[in-house]
Amino acid sequence: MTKESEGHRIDLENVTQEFHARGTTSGFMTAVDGVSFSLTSEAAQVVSLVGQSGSGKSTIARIILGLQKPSSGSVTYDGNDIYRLSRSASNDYRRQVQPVFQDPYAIFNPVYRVDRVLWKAAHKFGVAKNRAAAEERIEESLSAVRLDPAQVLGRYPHQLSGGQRQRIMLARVHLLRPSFIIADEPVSMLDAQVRKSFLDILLDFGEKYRMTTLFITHDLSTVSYLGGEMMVITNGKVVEQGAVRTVMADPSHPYTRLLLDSVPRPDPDQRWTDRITVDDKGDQILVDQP
Amino acid sequence: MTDRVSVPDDILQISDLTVRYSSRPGTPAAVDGVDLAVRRGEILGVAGESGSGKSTLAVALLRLLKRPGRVTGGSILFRPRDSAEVDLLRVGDKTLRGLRWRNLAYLPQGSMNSLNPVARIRDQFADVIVEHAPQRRGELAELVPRLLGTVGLPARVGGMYPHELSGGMRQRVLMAICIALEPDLIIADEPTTALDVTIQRVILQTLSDLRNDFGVTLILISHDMGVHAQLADRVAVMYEGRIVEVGDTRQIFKDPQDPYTRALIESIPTIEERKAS
Amino acid sequence: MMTSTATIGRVLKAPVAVVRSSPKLAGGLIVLALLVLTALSSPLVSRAIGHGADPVAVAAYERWLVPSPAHPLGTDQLGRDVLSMIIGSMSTSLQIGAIAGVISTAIGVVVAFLAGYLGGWIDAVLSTFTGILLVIPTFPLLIALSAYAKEVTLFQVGLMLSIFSWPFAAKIIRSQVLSLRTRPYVELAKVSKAGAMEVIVTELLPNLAPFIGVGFASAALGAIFGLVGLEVIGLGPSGVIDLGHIIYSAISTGALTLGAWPMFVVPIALLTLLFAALNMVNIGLEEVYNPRLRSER
Repeated sequence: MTKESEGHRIDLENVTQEFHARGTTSGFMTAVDGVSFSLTSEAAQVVSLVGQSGSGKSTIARIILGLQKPSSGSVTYDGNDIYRLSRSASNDYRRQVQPVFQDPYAIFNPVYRVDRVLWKAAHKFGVAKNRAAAEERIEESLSAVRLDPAQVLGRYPHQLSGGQRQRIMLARVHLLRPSFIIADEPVSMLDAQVRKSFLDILLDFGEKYRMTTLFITHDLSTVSYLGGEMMVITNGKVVEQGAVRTVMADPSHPYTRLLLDSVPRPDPDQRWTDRITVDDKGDQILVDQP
Repeated sequence: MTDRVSVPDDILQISDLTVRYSSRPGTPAAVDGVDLAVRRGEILGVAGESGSGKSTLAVALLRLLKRPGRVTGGSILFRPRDSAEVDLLRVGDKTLRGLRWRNLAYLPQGSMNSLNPVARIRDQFADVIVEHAPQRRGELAELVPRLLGTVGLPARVGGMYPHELSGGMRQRVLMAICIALEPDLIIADEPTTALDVTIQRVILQTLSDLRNDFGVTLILISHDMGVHAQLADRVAVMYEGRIVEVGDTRQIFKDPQDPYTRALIESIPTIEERKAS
Repeated sequence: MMTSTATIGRVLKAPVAVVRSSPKLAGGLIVLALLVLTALSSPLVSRAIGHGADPVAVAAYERWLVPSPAHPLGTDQLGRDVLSMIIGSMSTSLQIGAIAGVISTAIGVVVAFLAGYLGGWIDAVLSTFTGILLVIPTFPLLIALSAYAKEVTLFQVGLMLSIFSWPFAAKIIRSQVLSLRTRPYVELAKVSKAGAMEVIVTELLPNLAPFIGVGFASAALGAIFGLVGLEVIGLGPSGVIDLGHIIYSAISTGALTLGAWPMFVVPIALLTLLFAALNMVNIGLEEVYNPRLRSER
């Protein structure tokens, strides 16, 4: 299946998302605060969006996927607002932007076999002309993620491991070949060994099929492994962006520095020498020099 | 792989502990003939992937196994500083309850979500003290702010409810409750999981302070090797219910002997080194 | 490709496994089945007792006959065979319960899905309405309604009762819908171009089956006993003879003092069994779907 030679782009322009919240003075809580960035699929990119819980990163994912209309600002696809697309343009957008979610169990409806996810995708997006061709494509995709179709097809979600289930999601991506993959913490619930092979397959797909990945995570070591570009988000604002190597070697924003400082280095010869104090509110972190 | 021969100053000596979940022959045990000695005053890390048996080990130690899991063999000798040695697996329920919180404390996984939602923090301290050390009831007013201070929380937290606190703060409250009765041994199961990395560092620092300032022995269970590198004196690596290697932290990381340990160390994800700042 | 018949087959296989896993659920369903079978055997019983004649026709036999082989439970004040009457009326009670249950559940499901899934002002309006119905005392309203229901059919009685029992089903189902609609598999369906109806029917409904079951059992229970409550104080709608009606007859004619205790005791025993069975089904379903409720061995 050939792809169009020119890439597509997704642009976020000053996107803000507010939610009703009890216990705040204004009655609102700002999950995303004036975020702007662009993703292009001209050349396959990996862009990591790094933030802690509550930073707004998952909300951004949902906004881009068309699941949550932002309070203000716009998300455009090749210049058109994704929340105002015509039926056919909307279908095209859906085809080109697909997710990988975090929880490998919750992503499957427990009453159905795992095959359904693949068949539905094939059917809804017209991946093949007839049933036999679709079956072939599905088996091809499962093999591409190194799963044996015989081991996996016909099973229920609870009969497979977390790693296997997450790979079926990747197979689904392989089947659809979108221009953009929005991956929201796809490996945080997987074991370390399984994680690595998942990331390798994801990177490989990106290269081979020219897919740009927005990889959302809280884990800096994953970002380091993936390489590419990164954005650091906290309290709904993007505070730093740049190439992973540059940002990690020489972070400019104090929050980024704090994040990097807080990761426990797996080297007993490099223990923390400074101490953290917590301010009087109980949870603001300040690093004391020794 | 067995640990070295136990010496009298070991606070805990686990011998040939086996835990099974299924009585069908041929099914592997969750904990399979584990021998482990814990030195007084050390921080012992128990490392392993999920399913390795490390959490089951902790739960078995405290006789908190839920059916159908059961201990099918072994002994756990516990030597608290002010009373006689006991085998935790064979001691009577009443004695065990007396040991809990006073000599042996447990911080289970996800425990920050197990605070009583309708009680203020200071009342949760009171619950533990009244239950396990009623003679100290009078000290509560002074004890609570002091314990909160130990974990870096302001005294006013005592009057708050759990839902008003963040996950990290709740975890620290639990740690404060754990040390309220000055136990000899604390077992912490994944104390930093599900917390932001910045808060994780605070928790780890607090745990380290507990040992440094109070001499508490700490068994730290975690799948995160970075945690062990930063905190543990010795590390026991578990795989499929067995301890495959035990040794000084430095040795485990720099010169692992067992092939599984080696694979584990090699697969630790790293962050690009920072330029000298 | 998952055809709809295959899906239905799959959706049915789960309930069978579920029933097998819970003794309470299985027990409740077995008792229910026995009661239904007994009710269904009504024509056979009538034939056996009446030998061709109608044993519940007025003055079919002598009044107040003592239990005997010909009339195992005796006859009532109008000379009707009590056994045939009871079995016939049990059939009526069950049918009323079923009708009220089905109608309530249908209304409840529709309201719950619309409110829970679509949210916004639709939810606000429907939830307020449901809340009002839950709070107002329905018993006096039922009394008032039945004052106008002089000669009503079985179906109309069921309908009348379901007006007041659907809010219970709606409330339970709505909270489940709210909890399920944020599940990742629902979001996955949405990004795969599934419309609201498709999501509701294919993703949510199968997962809600047990709650709909509980809703049905609760509504049926509420209806049957609402009716009994009305009838024993003599305010039930006339035209249908169900178990409650017989109890009322027994009380008002002083059957106990005349020694005709079967007429009083047997309907109560049957109603108690029905109550227990429906509750077992409810408890069993809840235990299966909420493992924390299962009692420790």
